[in-house]
Amino acid sequence: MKPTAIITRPCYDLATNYLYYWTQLIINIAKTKGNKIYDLSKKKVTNKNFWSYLKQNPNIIIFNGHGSDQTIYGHDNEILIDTNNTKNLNNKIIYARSCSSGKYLAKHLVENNQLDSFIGYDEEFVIRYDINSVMKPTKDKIASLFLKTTNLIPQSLLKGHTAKEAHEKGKKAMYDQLINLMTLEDQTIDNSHIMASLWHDIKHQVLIT
Amino acid sequence: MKNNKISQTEKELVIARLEAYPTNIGTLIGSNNEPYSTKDLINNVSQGTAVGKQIVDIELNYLKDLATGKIYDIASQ
Repeated sequence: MKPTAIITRPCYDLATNYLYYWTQLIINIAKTKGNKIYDLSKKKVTNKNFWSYLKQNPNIIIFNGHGSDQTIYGHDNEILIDTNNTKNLNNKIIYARSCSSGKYLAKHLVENNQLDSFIGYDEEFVIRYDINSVMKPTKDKIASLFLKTTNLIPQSLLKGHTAKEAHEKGKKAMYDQLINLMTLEDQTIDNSHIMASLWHDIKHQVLIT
Repeated sequence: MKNNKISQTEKELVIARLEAYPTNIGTLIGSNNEPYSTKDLINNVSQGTAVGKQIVDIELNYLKDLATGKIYDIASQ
């Protein structure tokens, strides 16, 4: 039985716009592989819709959007889940591509709400992008270093890999990109800002179980 | 390293680095719903805003981990 997933992807500012389009690539692959995906997108990413979709009992929850150390948000910063949550998460796995939710929220959900595992970030999740590519986010070669690599985490989960395997795969992919940039023969372009941000995201990607 | 206060030397170092960066690169960070140009980042670092402090942390941690070899440790794990 293929894992099933609910995916949230609001789209109301540049950050969520990038996440929205890069997440479409995950959905496209999942559908060809036969995973059932509950796609909660744009204005549909409300608290009410999220918990309603969750009644379908998917194995994996993939959040994209803004977050804080205690909260993950949906459309227009509506709270989807926070540390006041009391609902049982029935051994699901969460991947949250949002800022800081790996700090307190992750531990709260694992300790109090029977969440199996949480992969996320315990500090800001940083993306660098090419300002000339904002109309075509998935063609942005700078942003791809951050988003193609982190796409591998949900893709791995949807293949049925464990949270630990998915976490390590995502980290390794981003690390490989960092090493590629560090060892480029052509160092005439200063890529150190990209390398600093990649390193930040690698360091702060956490797995809470 | 998580700075509450940024020293003038740290500010100057990070601003010097930012000034060398290509101008076509934007940054998405935090929940302010707005992208930052390199110029915006320099202003935030200069003024010591929350975003400015985060940028200083990111840049200085990278330099520190590069200097100590910590960046390469992960490859051997």
